Amino acid sequence: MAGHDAVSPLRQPLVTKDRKYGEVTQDILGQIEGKPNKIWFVALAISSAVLLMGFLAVAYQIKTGIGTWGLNKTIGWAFDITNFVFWVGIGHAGTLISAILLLFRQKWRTSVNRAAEAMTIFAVMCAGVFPLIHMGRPWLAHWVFPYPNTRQLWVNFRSPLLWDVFAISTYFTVSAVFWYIGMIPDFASLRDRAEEGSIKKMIYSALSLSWTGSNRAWHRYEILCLILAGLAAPLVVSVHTIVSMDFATSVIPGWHTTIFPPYFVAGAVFSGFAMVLTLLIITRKVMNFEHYITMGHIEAMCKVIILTGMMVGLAYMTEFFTAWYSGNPYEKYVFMNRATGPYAWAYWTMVSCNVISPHFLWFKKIRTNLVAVFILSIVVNIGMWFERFVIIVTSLHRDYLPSSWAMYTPTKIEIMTLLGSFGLFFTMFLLFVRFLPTINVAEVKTVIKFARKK
Amino acid sequence: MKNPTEIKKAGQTPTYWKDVEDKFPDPASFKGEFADGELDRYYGTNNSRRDFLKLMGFSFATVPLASSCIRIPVKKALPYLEKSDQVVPGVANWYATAMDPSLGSALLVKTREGRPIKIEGNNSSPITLGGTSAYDQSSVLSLYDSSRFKGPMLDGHAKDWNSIDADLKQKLMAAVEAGKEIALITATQSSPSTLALIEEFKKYYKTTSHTVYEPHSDSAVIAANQVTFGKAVSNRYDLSNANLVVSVNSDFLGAGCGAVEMTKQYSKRKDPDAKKGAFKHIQLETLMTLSGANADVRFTISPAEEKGVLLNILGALQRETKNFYTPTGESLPSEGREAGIKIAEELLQNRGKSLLLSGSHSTSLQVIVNAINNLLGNYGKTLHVYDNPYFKGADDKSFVELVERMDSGKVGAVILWDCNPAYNYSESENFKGALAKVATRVFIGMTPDETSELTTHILPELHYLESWNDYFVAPNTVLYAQAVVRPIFDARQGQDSLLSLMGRSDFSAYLQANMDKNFYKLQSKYATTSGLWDHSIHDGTLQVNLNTKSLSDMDKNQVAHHFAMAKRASASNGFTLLTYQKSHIRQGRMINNPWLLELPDPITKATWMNYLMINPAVARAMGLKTGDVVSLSDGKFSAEVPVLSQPGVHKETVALAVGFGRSVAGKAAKGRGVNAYPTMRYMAGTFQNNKDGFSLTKTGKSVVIPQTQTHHSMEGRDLIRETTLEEYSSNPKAGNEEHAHLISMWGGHEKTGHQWAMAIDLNKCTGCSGCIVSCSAENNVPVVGPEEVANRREMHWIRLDRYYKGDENNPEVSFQPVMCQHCDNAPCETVCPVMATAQSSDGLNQQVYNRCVGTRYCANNCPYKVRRFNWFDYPHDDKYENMVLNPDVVVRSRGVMEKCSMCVHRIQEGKLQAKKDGIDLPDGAIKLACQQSCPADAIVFGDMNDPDSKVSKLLKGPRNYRILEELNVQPRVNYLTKIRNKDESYGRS
Repeated sequence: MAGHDAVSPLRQPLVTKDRKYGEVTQDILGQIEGKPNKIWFVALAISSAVLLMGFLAVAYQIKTGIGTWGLNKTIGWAFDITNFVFWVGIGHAGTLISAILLLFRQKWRTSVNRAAEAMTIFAVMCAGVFPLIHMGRPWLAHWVFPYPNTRQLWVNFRSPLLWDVFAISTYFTVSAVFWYIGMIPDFASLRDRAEEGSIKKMIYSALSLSWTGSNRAWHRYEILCLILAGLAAPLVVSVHTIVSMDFATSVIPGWHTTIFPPYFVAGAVFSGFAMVLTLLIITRKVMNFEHYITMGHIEAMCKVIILTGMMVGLAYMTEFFTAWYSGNPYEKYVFMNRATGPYAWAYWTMVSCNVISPHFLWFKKIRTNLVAVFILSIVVNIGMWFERFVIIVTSLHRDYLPSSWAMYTPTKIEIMTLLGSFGLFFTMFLLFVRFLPTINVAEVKTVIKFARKK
Repeated sequence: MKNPTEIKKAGQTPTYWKDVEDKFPDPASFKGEFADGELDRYYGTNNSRRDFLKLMGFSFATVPLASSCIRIPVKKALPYLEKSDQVVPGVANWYATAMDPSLGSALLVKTREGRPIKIEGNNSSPITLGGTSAYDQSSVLSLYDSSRFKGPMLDGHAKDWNSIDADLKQKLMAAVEAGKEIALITATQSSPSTLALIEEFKKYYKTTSHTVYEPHSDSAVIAANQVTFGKAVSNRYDLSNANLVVSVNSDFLGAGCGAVEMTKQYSKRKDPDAKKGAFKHIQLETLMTLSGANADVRFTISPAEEKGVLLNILGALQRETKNFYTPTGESLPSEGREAGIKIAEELLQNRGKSLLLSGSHSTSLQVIVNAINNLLGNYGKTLHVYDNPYFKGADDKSFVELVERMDSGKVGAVILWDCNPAYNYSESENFKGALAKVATRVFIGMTPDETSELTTHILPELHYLESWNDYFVAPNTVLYAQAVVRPIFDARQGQDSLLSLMGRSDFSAYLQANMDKNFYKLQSKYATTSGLWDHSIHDGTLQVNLNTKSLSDMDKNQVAHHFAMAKRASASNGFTLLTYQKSHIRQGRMINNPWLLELPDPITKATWMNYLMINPAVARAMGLKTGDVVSLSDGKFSAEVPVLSQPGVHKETVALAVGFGRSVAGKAAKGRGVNAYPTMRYMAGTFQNNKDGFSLTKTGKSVVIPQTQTHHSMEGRDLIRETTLEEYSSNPKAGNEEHAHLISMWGGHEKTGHQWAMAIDLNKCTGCSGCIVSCSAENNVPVVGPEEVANRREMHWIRLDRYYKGDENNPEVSFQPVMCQHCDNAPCETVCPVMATAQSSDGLNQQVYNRCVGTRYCANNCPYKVRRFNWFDYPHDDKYENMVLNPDVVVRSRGVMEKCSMCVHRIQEGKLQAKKDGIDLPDGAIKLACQQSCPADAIVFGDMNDPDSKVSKLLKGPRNYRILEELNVQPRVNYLTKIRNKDESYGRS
């Protein structure tokens, strides 16, 4: 690591406190070795209670029928698929940070990639719940997999929902493997620090796969990470592209549009970074990681949000232009209806949150104000949730034949299910910060001396 | 791999082997051909004990696992102890029968394993010509109404028939001996046998009187015919000879009792290619009715204008024809003068080929209408008053007089047969008071109601499908009704009850004897009486040479008197409340019928309740919107009722449908809506259906009226293509010039063999909605209830889209039946992840229920929004109602998508029949449920690969188009343009 000792007069240090290697290990792993604090317990209690509420809502819905939701003959999807697309989108930032930034050798990612990847995995888990429970007969969900069976039934490879099945399961698998491989050296550290003969030691030694820390092990570790990053990078683009095809390949005005793949990917990165910010602003505070997850990280992510926010805004404008320019009366109506119809409040919520609010981040004062960034990150996620709601519900509720036009109102069960998915997400994340190394100890050590004066 | 063909030696013929045994007679010699153990398994010789244990172990482990995962409902099937030679399980039996013509049509009943499951029209009826209404279609469900009486009751306690008969006989005799009247109150009677029976009953119990009571009927027409022709009979119309129909507040296509017959004639006359010449329908009405929605020219008039128009038409006709029924120089009302004069001119141009109809409940106005038709020479041509010997229609006056007699204690016993005055008589409190003064109160009816609660003897009546009857329809048709199922409950036909009270029995024998006596001589087709009986019952109809006289000699002397009566101006204040009959609920006799209640009103698209229809501008001015509850009051009557903003309703009028607001009824009807009957009033001999002086006050409450359609504009979209008759005659493609130019990268499905297609004539379709019930009955479509309809989750596979255009005070209305369009490039098919919906080789888009996992993607991607999702397990727990289920169609479970299958089971049945008969499937042999029931013959179904089929000819015609052609989904359902005979001179575009 001698190469990292060079002094850069231009760059800001990535880890702002002068720390030795051992201190780094203690800073990060020490957090999960001690007893959890009260805040953690309170947070876990709240999030698992919300998760339980969501679980009960889903159980009731599965027992009674989809009729417990507010859907109808005209609007066949609403909260369910909105939540699905929302959560899949959230996941994107994690993969982008861990895979694409690794490929581009962005060193600043080292202290945030672990948490971001964990967020990806939990978000994809939350997302995966919705296609399952939105089925009329979820107990037959395995029918969407192409498995040989005596009834000679096969799946429909023309259906974007089937592409989703493959896209999401591939994404989840690659992300989970990537995440786990990255944790092996840290598991080994935890194993080595654990008390001899303790259960902790047993678990961590199993998880560390007998990591020896040899040169060869490090070499293979880095190569494997690179390969997995290579595999994961196209997934960043492909997953949300395929999710967008659920809509783009349909015939419904407002859905049937070729702009969706790039628009969805930009939106996903946008919302994903917002969620990373939300999580890390809390984590760095609670876990005392302020020197590892620095203002520099937060500012960098804010800049990504400005960029992707503008891309999303451009997509909104392009959609409107195309609707007008195409001369397609149905499409024209759908877009006018979005902006002026009964769901205009949702549309304008979306526009203010996604197009207007990111521009506050141009100001360094706001960008470096943690409270402001925290609020804006939540605002962006509200906006991105509404974006999916607007796309799904406003396109369906007034499509071709006016006789079938209808309104959609969510039921309590749907709201409880949405909240429950947040419960699931935060419960998982809280368990993660307690039991797994939140920052990649091994990798962050490579950057601590990066900008330090001799 | 060895070549299976072994050549022994060069020059020799090759020998072929058929199977392994042939090639290797000795099993040992081909051991090497198979994997180890495979051969042993094949010969089944060498299973080891270990193999057996493995297999058993696996089976024991998996069976409980598999059986605990899937609940298999326990169902019991009992075989016939003695199999009837007429019942073949799985094969339907069809029987001809009829509903009372004042309610329904001549019918065929489909029974499966002895259960009636479906009503269809009887093609051999010369009256309804195979057509049916929603009311007819729904009636089969009322057979299985679990709220029906389960047995006779005396003073609220179950009793056996013998003892109740004995008790009643003794009480009736006592009344006769005491010189007290026995009042028999029935509904309209047109049955020769029943009328004869009543005559015998009158002789047996000498003090018996017979009164026909109908709460909301055409009694004014009957009374007017009594005045002008001396006969208390109804009118019969013949549109086939009419070029101009002017209807003043008469909903002859909707709620009128002859709606099916009229629709048949109407749709034939509307055919723009018919050789009979142009047909025009002018409707003047106070609220928007089905007839008004179909009219070529429509006016919205106030009740005062209704009177004015009729009087002015008569005045103008008298002037023009110089034929005065009223004193010359008599002044005419100013309301409706202009329209009246113009319509009179047009009527005069169509003398003998026109028809004026009125829905008025005023005898005087109906006398005016008779005078107008007489001046036009329409009697005997488009309009008949037959000297019908077998008819006893509603006589409101005699009922009111009867109530007075009951009140004065002159009546010793009352027999209420198929009527419910305690609910639907406007002065029901008077009636109840009078009834309490009658010692013996007998109720003959199917279900408990407000009146049965007050009676002493309850004699449960049979459903018409369990009954025998005959009906005479003038001039010369007898319809026969036969029992197609054994009584489900311990009930007895009303006629049999009357017979029992006379110590006799068996009305079917009575019916046969009556046929022999009255009609055997009047026909020459059947030589023997038994042949006559067998064939008439089989056919359901009999033509007799009675040829009842068509009266055309009118007594003009009374016209002047009634003219003066009608002219008497009444100062109107406040809102005029019009009580009307919904086209399928009618008087409300069959209100406890979930199919009828869930059927959307053709105009308002509302279900399950009644509401106050109000002009939209008036509603806006009062700050009311659909669903807001108002308090409706005229001082005497007051009720809280939600309003429904309805285009085409006159500004001074509000309208409330009768039949709702039942306090004693089955669970489907009880407590739904408001009872409108108390707002009617008895005046000048009839029950009047409009009354002024009503005020509306906001209550601040609001309800959701369950409507299946809430957006009423087509938004300028090209969904219903239409033109005018004028343009059509010069250019048959008018209104249908633009078609999408479509290109596709895909060649499409192979289209060989039968390729099914449908054509729907929008010009014929009146929007009556009978097809919806027919489809639901045929395909076991569940009823979801008002809350779920309000949630926009009705399950109907076919719907009637209704759109308004133009002035909201007098809009142009269009109807469009929409079901699954069976697209060739179906958007639903590509998106289903599990291929639960797919194209069949004959071009149907098929839904595979047991493969469906319920993602609803197909429904989202359907541009026509015709797919219906099972949001819940819809209840099928009423063991009686379940008997109506069609065993040919599966009942769908929760979580699966469903939609129109184009009655695929009927297609299969038709194909199979043709195959058995060894013939090519004839065009028209397969009739879909919606098509069969359509009284307008608007739906044509057939093979578009057959160039001679009716449908393929229509598909090539100039009027043919498909909805949303530009999407290139290639639907198989086609539509024919609507052609209105517009008349700009009436000032309506």
